[in-house]
Amino acid sequence: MGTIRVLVIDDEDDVRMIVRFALERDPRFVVTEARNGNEGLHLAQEEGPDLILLDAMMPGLDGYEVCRRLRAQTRFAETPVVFLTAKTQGYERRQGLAAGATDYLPKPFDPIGLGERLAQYLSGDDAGG
Amino acid sequence: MSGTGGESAASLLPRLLPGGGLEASASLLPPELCLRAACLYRVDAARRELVAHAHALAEGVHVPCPERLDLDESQHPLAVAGRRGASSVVGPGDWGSGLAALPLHHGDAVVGVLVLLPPEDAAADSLLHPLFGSLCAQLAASLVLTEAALEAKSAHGTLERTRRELATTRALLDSVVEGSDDGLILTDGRGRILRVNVAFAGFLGLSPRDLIGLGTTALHDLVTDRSAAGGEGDSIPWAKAVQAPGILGRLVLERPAERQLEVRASPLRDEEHRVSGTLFVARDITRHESTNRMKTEFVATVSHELRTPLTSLHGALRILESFEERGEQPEQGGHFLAMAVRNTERLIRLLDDILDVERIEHGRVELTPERFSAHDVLRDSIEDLRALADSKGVTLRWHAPPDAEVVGDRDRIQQVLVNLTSNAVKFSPRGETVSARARLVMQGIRFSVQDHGPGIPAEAHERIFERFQQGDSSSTRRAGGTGLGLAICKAIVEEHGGRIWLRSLEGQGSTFYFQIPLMRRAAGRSPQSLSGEGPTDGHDPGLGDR
Repeated sequence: MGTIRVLVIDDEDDVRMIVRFALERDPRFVVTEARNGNEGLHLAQEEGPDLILLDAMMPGLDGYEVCRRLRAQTRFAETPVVFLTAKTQGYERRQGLAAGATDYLPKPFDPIGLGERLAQYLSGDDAGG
Repeated sequence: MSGTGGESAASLLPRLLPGGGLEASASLLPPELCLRAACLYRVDAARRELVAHAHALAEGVHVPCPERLDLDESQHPLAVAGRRGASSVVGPGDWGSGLAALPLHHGDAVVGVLVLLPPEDAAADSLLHPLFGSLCAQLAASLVLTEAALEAKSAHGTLERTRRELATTRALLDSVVEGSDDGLILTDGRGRILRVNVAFAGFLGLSPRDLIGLGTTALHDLVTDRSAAGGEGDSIPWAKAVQAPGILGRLVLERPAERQLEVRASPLRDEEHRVSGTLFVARDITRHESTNRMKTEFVATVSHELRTPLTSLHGALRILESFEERGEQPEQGGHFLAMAVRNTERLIRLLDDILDVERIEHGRVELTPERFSAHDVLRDSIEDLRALADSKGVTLRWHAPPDAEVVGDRDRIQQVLVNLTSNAVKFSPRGETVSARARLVMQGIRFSVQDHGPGIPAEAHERIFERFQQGDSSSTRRAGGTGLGLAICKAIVEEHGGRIWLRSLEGQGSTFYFQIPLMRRAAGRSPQSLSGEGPTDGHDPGLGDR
């Protein structure tokens, strides 16, 4: 199985550190970090990740807007974009899905098993495809 | 001319109606005709009574005159005369001798009875003289006039009383209608506005005069005109309220002010309990709604703010646990342990701050006011932050006039100063200076904390003192704040009767100010004399170094 390149866009240093550590324990995953929406969009263009983990509430561009802008590009039309956010109200979840999210995962999340979960979004697809 | 116990009828009778012009008719009577007394009774048809109207007595004569006689029940000769309308001579009765009772006719009706008492030596039937006819007609006419006058007078009295009662009721109604905070509209059966109070007219930015007489269609148009463009406009079924009273719905007005009104209707009924119109009550629920929305938003925000440190805490602990399970002791272990501790502390701070701001805003914090030195509280606040400033390479400067005093809760004022100053330090670039100072002003004592940080955009100046609104939450978190510090500062300052504000331009730093009113001592100095002692804003010659 090939490498799964994950882009984590989150303004919380701790969360990025947890995600990176939890995913990279599994040698399949390579994690790139972005600290805000603009940086995330930029890195997405540069690196073409296989999956994007996205926080909702960030300074500047919020996650919903980042998701819309990604989906507006044919290049990211099929890329799994998964929200990982503390905004857990029903309307916030609907807002994320309406923006084109593949899934909407609430914080706190269990870092153990996160890799397995993310891999499922890519199953049936060539990892890295 | 008196006869035996009598007086000439011509002179006695006119006294029955002084100024009534009976003299002429009386003079027609034979001069030798004498009377001991004449009593005039009026028939009160409604009450079926004879009522004494007037009497005239010859000198030295004392006879009782019954005030009232029941026409139905009584067998009294007067009653008989009054009822039957026939002249008669009757027995002694109340007068002690025979008397003549002459009914007074007006048309077919008997309007009164004239009772004549002959002298003791004369027979009563001598008084049934045809020449009394003209006099009786005159008396009858006079009684009719009196009756009419009485009726008019009584009607006037009733009218006057009714008018006064109406005025009282109206004044009461006015004070209820106009004193109500709820908007009230009264319409007639066809939906035309009969009455509208100042509160309702005010909701539309109009005066009651503008609305009275309008129909429900015009009302609908006025309301729609003031609702949000593209919204539902006015969805209140004004015209159909009669059929379905109760809560009609909500009005969302945008002009002249944003307002939400809950409108209900109840039928107006007339004195026979028939529905004669509708009473609309429009209650302003703007505040209620906004309080509800704020509560919901606050709960959502708190949930988010709690989840953020919990995510890191939970994540760090799960990873540490997995090391345990695998029997690993990697070097990252220390990082995750520190992360867990840091986020636990952040949670504790957050919970403390949430409780603090709630308690202060709801006035549940007992302030213990005392008089203390502004210099000392500023010095202590700065000392608290010395270590933080040193670690960030920020210089702290402060100044307070040596004799300036503050009246308030010293710990709480220090909490505000520490909070504002630590914010200033956290957002200052390395090598910059944060200046804190106190100065006396006319209205009290003013503290200020100035930094040379990134500044705060103008649009955020208002909401920055609201909970979780400080700039953007991630910068707050990176700076170690909870997003509640400024809300707590505001609550504390306002609890002291003071105010808090800021001046800031993006890129040019910020200055936060707060002012606490000065209570004057009984033998105190005037605020004016105090104000001169403080340094002026900006150029503070006495601004000391750390």
